[in-house]
Amino acid sequence: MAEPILVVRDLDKSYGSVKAVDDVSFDLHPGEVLTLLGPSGCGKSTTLRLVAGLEEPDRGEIRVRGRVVASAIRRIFVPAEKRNVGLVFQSYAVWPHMSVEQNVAYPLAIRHMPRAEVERKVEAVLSLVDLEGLQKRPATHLSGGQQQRVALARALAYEPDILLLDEPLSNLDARLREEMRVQLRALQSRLGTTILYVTHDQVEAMSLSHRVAVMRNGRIEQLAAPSQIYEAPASYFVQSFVGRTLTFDGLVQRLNGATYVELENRTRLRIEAGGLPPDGARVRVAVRPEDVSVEPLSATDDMSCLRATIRDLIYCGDHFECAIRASGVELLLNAPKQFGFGPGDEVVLKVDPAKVTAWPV
Amino acid sequence: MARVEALARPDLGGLLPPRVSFQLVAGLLVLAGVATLTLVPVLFVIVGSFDVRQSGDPATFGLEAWRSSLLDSPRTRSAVGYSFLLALRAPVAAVVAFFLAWLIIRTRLPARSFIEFAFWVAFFLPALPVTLGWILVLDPNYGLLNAGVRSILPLNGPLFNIYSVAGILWVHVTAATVPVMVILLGPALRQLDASLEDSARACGSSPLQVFQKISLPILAPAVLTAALAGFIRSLEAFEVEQVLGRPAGIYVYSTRIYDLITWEPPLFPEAMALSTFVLGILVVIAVIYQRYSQGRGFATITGRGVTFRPLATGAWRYPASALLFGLVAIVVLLPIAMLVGGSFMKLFGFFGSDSFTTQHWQRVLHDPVFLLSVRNSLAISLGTASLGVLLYALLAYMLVRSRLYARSLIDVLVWLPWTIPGILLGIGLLWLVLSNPLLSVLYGTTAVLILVLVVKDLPIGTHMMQTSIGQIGLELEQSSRVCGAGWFVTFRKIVLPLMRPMLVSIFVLTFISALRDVSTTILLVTPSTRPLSILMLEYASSSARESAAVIGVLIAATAMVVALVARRLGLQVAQR
Repeated sequence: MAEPILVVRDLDKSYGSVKAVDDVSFDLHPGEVLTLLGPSGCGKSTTLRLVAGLEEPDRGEIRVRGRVVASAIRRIFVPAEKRNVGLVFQSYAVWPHMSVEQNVAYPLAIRHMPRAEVERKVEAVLSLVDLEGLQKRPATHLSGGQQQRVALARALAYEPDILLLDEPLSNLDARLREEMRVQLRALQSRLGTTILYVTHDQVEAMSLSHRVAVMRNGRIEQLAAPSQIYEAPASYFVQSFVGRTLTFDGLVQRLNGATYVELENRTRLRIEAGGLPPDGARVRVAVRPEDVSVEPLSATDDMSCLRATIRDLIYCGDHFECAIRASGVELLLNAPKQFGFGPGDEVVLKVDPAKVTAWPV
Repeated sequence: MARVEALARPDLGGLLPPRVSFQLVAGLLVLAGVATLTLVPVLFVIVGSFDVRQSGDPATFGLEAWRSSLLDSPRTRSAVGYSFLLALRAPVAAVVAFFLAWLIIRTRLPARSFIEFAFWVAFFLPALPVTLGWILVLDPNYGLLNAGVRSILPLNGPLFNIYSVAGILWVHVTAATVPVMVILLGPALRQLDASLEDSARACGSSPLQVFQKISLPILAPAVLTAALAGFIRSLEAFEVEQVLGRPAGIYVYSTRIYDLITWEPPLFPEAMALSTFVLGILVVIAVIYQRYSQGRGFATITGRGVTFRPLATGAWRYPASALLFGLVAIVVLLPIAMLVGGSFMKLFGFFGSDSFTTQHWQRVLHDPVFLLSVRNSLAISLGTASLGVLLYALLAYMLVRSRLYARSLIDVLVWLPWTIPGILLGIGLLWLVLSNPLLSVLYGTTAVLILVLVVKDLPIGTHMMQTSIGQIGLELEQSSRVCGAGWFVTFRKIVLPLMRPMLVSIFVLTFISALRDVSTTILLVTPSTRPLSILMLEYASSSARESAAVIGVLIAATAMVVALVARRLGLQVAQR
């Protein structure tokens, strides 16, 4: 693989006694989109700001194109303006006293680019983000989506080595967010921009990235391709944060060479996950809703089946939401419109043992 | 996926060069600069009060000056007493101003915006022209009111005498203390969320009960803050006491200091001892104020999405409005009208059918002394406003946004001149300039006047800029940095343009403050650098009151034009 554009090693950053970033390392390769995904306060934005040069790391090293831009031990700190990275904030941060054109031309003028070239570049990058014809508008007279595209154009105009996007879509309403997501993906694959993306939205992370780093408490919990994050999560946190999960607590039991987890009401759920603690240990089992099916009671009494009661059926237009109680746990499943059961019905939840994961509690 | 390679860690052990931090060096430089402007003059005053050498001798230190000025001089002692007695007007005025502001802002009085504008004008009017106007009304010999009363009632002596404690208080309260507090309390009253009052109304309270139980308790800290601040500010006063107090033998500490310094030979140590004594008291009050106002005062009532709805009032709003109108007419219009009249009188104070003339206007307008003063005033005011705006903006930016070393210490030093009355600032700088051979070239220059005036407005100017910068989203600046601009380019191209309304406001405020200033510059002024305000004081204190009135009209007119401009700008700021 080609030489990485961004190398982040052993990064630490504390605010007072709070460790915001804790031993974070990753590489970013040319043309790659890497997303830092996690709940608020997990350190993803701080990591991005460390890369941007807006914060100084307490420990560790950052290299851009082989040049050390921050190193705690070597006492190197290259300020943001000398790193040649682009940054788009959640708040757009479009300068309200400038027109669209002036906003986009600013970084080029700073670089002393000849005026004719600035004009050409501004026009090109504005057409790239579908803002042709709005050059002269005051930036604040634009809609949220347009302002976000001005911010994007401004960050792309000077062809930075890395584009840093800090929750760029979070301020947009749901429909616009979806549109921008698709546009961003198309733009990235066209330009081959290298992007470090920060979000708490797993759909954005999944659909835009080549790799996702799920962060928690300042640490990277798992760094892998989106499909791997979803299909083979490294921890219960990753599994529950990315996508929906149904969860039960129980005790490990081994019978006749098979492994079970005994849940409440002496129900047993067969699982195929390896590496479990000894018999009698408490574990938490988790399964994706799409790996569970609702069957009539008459279905075979397989060991990977759970008895359940339908509590409520909620009409949601294109589907039903089905509230189910199984082994003392309230679950919510999506059910098709031609669902054969109603509230109060006793059913069986059929679970594929290969899809069940078990985590020590 | 590429393996995460282990980071090679060269063992640099003790070989690391000490990091010469930009933040440390720049922080110390700024600290030194601000300290030179604010702390050093104060220290010079304190040290000077113990320096009792005769001219030419090496420095000798002792308490003689303290003894002779504070213990042995009844005039100095009474001056200190009068200073604090007169300052008691502030708490009284705060209460009056609160009710006035409440009527103007939170009720639907007819013509309330005109009344507010009148207070706005009064806020900008310099004290000296107004004092001259009042002299024409209340002078014991020729005052219009005294003459009028005498023609009706058979009295031997005058009924009113402006050359008294009551006269000084009257001029201060009507010309400055109350209008200033009405204007200062305005924002607090505007920001009081109407939904708080509405909820109380919905619970069944009458408007009066709402005022008593909700509005007043919420706003009380703001009023108290204004009263304390007004107390400190009222110790600034100089020119009113100089014109009205001296003829009656009433001195406050500031006129007494002026006296000691203009003595032949000047009694510097005594003046310094008195200055140090007053400074000590002021610092104590200021610390109390700071403790109290922290997290209180105007800030507590600000809120986002504040809805505001003036109170509908009953039939009594017409008499209330008429009362306010009358008040404004007496407080603002009367002295100004009298002043204009006075400038056309053959002999100041003597009314009559053929007693008016334009000869004073012709004489003054062609007088080279006057023309020089106009030039000086313009140079000083423009210089102060330009330099001030730049310095305050730069300092505020560093204080708000940088990680400079010793920022909190710089903050304290910037705030220091707020507690120092102009005359003490003036004496400090004068002593600093006179006692340092390198700086003595500054004496008698316009530069030193600009310098002391910039220092005088340093606290308020920097504070307002800090607030303004704090309101600019940090990400707007960070975007600029990431785009490749350094901090100074970011400051110039992003921060300054975004705070333009505030820059203009501060320019106007500093300009007018420099134009009307007397107390800060009076000890540093020489005949060649004398501005209009000082020239006017000299005329007013001598027998050339007609000329003083002419200059007074000009200064007042300028101030009113600026007030109008400022209001326009203020409205623009509010619209943004």
